[in-house]
Amino acid sequence: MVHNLWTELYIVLLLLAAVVIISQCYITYLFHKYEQAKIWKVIGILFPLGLNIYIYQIIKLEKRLNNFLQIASMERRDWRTAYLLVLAQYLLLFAVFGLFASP
Amino acid sequence: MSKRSKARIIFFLYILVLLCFDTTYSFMIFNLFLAFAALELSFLLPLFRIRNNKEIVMSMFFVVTFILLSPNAIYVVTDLIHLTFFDFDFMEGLELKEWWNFTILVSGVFLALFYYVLMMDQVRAFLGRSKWMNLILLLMIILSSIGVYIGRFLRFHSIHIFTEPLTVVFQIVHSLDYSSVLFIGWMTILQIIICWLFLDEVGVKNGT
Repeated sequence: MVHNLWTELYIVLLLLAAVVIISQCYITYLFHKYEQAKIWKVIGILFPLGLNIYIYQIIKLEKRLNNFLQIASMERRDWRTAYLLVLAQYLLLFAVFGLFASP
Repeated sequence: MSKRSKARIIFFLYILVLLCFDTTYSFMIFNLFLAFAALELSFLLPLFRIRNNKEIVMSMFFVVTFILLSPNAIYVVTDLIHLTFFDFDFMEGLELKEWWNFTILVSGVFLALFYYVLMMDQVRAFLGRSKWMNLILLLMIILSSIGVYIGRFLRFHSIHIFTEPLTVVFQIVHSLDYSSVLFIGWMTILQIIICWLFLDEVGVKNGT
């Protein structure tokens, strides 16, 4: 039982690390694609767990895309993927939490 | 200032206060974070509206995750039961510690209610002019009530739907009785009252 718990935890943590790395790279790529300023690339790679895209969303994205109501198909696909990657990070984090918090 | 900005600023201020000052209700950091997460997901709903068949899987994944997290907003209201940590024996005089904690807990609950109303408004905007809108909203309210019951009494979190789906379903079915159905009904009535009182006044057009 204990062995299973640690094996599951190990797998979830590995998955989490993989998703975090992919997510950081992808969001930084999107910042490179849509923004000129280097600061966004720095924020993209350094701020983890969706904090990068969240800051960008508040400062730029929501205003530019009118709260996601006016968005071109290509850009829409990019941001959908980015947000799903961030969501996956949190679901995996919750899974770690869930392994320890089962009633 | 838009309601969206207000929701964000007040969330970070609240968390900052809870981190910096001593309070019995520090668990509100996590509970309010989950309520705030549900609200932030609702802001992304327009991005996950299905436009073609290729988008169905991603959009469904997002919407289902949002639905699973959404009860966290109204769940915080039930945290009011933790006021019983203190006696509030006002005849004995003013006990500052009690009223400091009262302020912390009740302001967290007010915040969660604000998030709940904004979230439901986003859901309403997402559904658009569908003739099923009211029915879907009612369904979501009932699901939220069931979610509150599961979280409060069975002590499950949203994530257990993914990690232990069979256990969750088994426990829910096993625990359903007259009292639990009544509790779910009362939570549903509470949410309907909140929606009826506040939903019309908070609109997407007003800058949410």
